[in-house]
Amino acid sequence: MNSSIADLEPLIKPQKKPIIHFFSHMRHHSSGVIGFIIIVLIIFTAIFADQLARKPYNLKAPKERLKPMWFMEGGSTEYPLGTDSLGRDILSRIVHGSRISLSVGIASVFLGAGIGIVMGLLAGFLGGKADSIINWLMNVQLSFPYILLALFLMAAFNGGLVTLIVVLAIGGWVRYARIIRGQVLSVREETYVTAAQASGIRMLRILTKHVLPNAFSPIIVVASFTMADTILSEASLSFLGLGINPAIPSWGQMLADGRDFLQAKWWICLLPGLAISVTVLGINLFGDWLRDYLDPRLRL
Amino acid sequence: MTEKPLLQVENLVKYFPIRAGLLQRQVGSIHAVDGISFKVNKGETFGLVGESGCGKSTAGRTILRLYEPTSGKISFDGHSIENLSGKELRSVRTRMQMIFQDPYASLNPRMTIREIVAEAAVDHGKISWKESEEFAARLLKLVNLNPIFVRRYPHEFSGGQRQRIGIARAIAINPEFIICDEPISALDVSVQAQIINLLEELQEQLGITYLFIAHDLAMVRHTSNRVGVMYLGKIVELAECDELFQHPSHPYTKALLSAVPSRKAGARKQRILTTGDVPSPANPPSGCRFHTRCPFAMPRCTTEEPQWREVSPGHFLACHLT
Repeated sequence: MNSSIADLEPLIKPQKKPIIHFFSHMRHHSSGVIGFIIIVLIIFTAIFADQLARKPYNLKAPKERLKPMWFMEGGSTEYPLGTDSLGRDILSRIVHGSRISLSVGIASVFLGAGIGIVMGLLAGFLGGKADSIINWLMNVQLSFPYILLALFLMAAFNGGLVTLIVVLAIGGWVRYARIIRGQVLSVREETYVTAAQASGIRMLRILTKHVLPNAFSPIIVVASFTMADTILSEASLSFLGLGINPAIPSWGQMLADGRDFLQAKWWICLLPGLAISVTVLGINLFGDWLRDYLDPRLRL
Repeated sequence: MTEKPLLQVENLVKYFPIRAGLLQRQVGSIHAVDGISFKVNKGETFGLVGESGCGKSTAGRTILRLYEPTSGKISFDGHSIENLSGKELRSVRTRMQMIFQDPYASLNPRMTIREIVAEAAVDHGKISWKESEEFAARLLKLVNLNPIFVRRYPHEFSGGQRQRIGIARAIAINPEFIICDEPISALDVSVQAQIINLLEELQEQLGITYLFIAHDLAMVRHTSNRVGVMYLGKIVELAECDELFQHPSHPYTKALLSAVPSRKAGARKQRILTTGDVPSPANPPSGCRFHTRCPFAMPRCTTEEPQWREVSPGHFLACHLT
């Protein structure tokens, strides 16, 4: 009883710093590595878009309209991925578009998940009146035409990037809240939650240390595919004129622009679509690995 | 015993509502614990036995206020705790702890042993997070586990080891009173004895009082000073351990004891057989609850509930027969 941990220290494996542990675990899981690299590359692109893009995203060259990719007939290395209907360089627009698409996707997913998780936790754990009220809110949200709400909010707040993110988050929180609520309903009956209550642990700590970590894993999966949805939703809102300034490119908007030429000039649509797919793939792979990493039982 | 009891329970009642239909109206209630009274003296082990579903675990959890009591009084160390809330309840909970039946469910799989064992002490501000590793390591030593386990996760341990971790968690904040809710019934027989010995050692070292909930009569006989026998939400008989096992008076106690296999070869015991199943606690029988299965039931038993009385010093009974 009197020995201190110092005597035992040699027996205990030196603990890796969390950041080192994070990467050394990832090293053995290729999906984590690939996902992580994709995400880092895209974030890098978004940050250094001005340096990376060879042309201003808005430079119109009417003579160079609808050029194909460089290896196709009529293509040139000046416009490696061709030009759109206004003669703008697609590569430069994709590079710049990563900014809006990524920030809208990530921010609104985080915001939506944040709201949803808090609501779901409260509904599931407190039950009773809180549960009824939150369920009612969720049903109101689901029954209200989303586009109408978006229209109203974008008009009322003079639509900018932040408003757009909030609007998209409002459209998504119910999904997370429902999942978390269901998970919490089962987790709160676990004996270890009872044990924590019996020890007089504060409720906030029970929620954050016992309930949430054990209810969280489906959220990672849902969030990673919701991000794709969100990037596309931004495009639909832009299409209705509710998005941000149409002069600033986003992948979803480029996709919408290329729609008219889908049959003859398919690459105008394909390339931004590919950018969205790769991003979502990266986030999915990373999310998959993250879920395993966060579960000590799977963390080998 | 002139000593003041550590825990005194009077007429404790816990009903669970049964809700049904679209509007979730209450259509009845499960009479899980239906007016039990007993006291537990400081330093002793009080055994609570009964078959599955008789309400013994519910009684334990209600005493810890994990369930809100429907009515009745619970006093701990002279203070009534049935109406406490918030801060006061939190501080009482540092003095009472619980050890759970299923060691696989009672440890959070996402926390290290250090976090599990030291959590309460940290949360109640008794130690800092920095001190918690050493704190947990000492507790592991106290329950005969290797202190280097502090950085591992629960899934790396066997059932017996997990139960030891559960015990370390329970004793971490120096409780005076621990409710052991069938602490050994989920373990291998070889491990059961180790856990019981550990609990007894800790009782000696730390002077803890136990409420020992079990259905294993041999184990209860071995560990308890006094024993209460529960049937369908009521305590039917309560006595000193030896007295109860040598002179059982209630037909249900007799039936329970006669079901324990004897070690003596050829010893023919008089088996008292009960008939039928335990009645539903949603609709308990009138009069004496045991009359539907009692081999000695009289007409009076079906109508009149037997009084809880002291038949000899320290021996309480609720039965019309004696």
